Amino acid sequence: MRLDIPPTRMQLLRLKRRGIVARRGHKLLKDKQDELMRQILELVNRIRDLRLRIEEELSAAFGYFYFASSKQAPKATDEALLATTKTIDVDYTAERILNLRVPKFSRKISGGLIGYGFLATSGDLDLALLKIDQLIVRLLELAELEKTLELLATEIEKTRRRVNALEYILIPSIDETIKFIKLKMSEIERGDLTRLMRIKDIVRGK
Amino acid sequence: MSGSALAIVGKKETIMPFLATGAKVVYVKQGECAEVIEDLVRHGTKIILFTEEFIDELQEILHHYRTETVPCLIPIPTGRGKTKRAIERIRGVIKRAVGADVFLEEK
Repeated sequence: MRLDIPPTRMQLLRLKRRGIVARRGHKLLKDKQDELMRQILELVNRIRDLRLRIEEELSAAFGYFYFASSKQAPKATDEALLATTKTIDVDYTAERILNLRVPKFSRKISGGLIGYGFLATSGDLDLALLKIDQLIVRLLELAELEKTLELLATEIEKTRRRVNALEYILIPSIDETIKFIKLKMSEIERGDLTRLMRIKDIVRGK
Repeated sequence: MSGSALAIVGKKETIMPFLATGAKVVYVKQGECAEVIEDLVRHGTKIILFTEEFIDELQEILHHYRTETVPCLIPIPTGRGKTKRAIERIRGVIKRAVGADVFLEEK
């Protein structure tokens, strides 16, 4: 599509400059897109492995937990869970990947996991809680990775739109307009020349 | 406040054991999850893990916080049966971004 610009020498110069900038921008964005893609593909495998592992471990832990809670009084389970002195505190810093700020979580875990006695609870509860306690660290890691993935994915979408807009719309229309102005100007030049020749003929003929 | 940075949201029977880990555990019923999560976000919770059965009600919130660094809203498996909703979601995100389904499960 041709841009709606008057076919003058000034505009031609301006357009040429715009074309150069657009091409440079396109190259930069394309590089950015490639880098984002590389990052995301790297992440995908890590997330998949982590998720499958978490799923497995979680169902194992829950298995123990249900087993334990069926063997003991429900109240005992509640009490045992509340007796923990564990606290988990999460702090985050934003790390940069290109223009994105992705979270990096650091955790502070303190206190003991098992704060209940041996009498009212079954041994399976200990196993379940130990497993879940290990899991929470993995879940934090998963949270970090998935958030990064999501941010990267939205950025890729945005960048791709921009790259395509430059590649298929802006740059071609600038090129077309430049060509149009050049043709128009040589047409004007030819028109001038013939007019001049004609005038000269008229003058000479006089 | 300790524990407030990390919250786990879900039905009581599926997330109860997480109480022992020191994280903030919030029990919800079907239909009220979105509200609870909004509230947690308002109070500055940075990581919210919710069980994947609530994904459908949370679409709007998930979309809203998609581009922000925090809060981090992550679906977790329920531990009983595999619903795969969370994996489907991630797969969708990747498909849209990459243009191909690269999140293949090893079988």
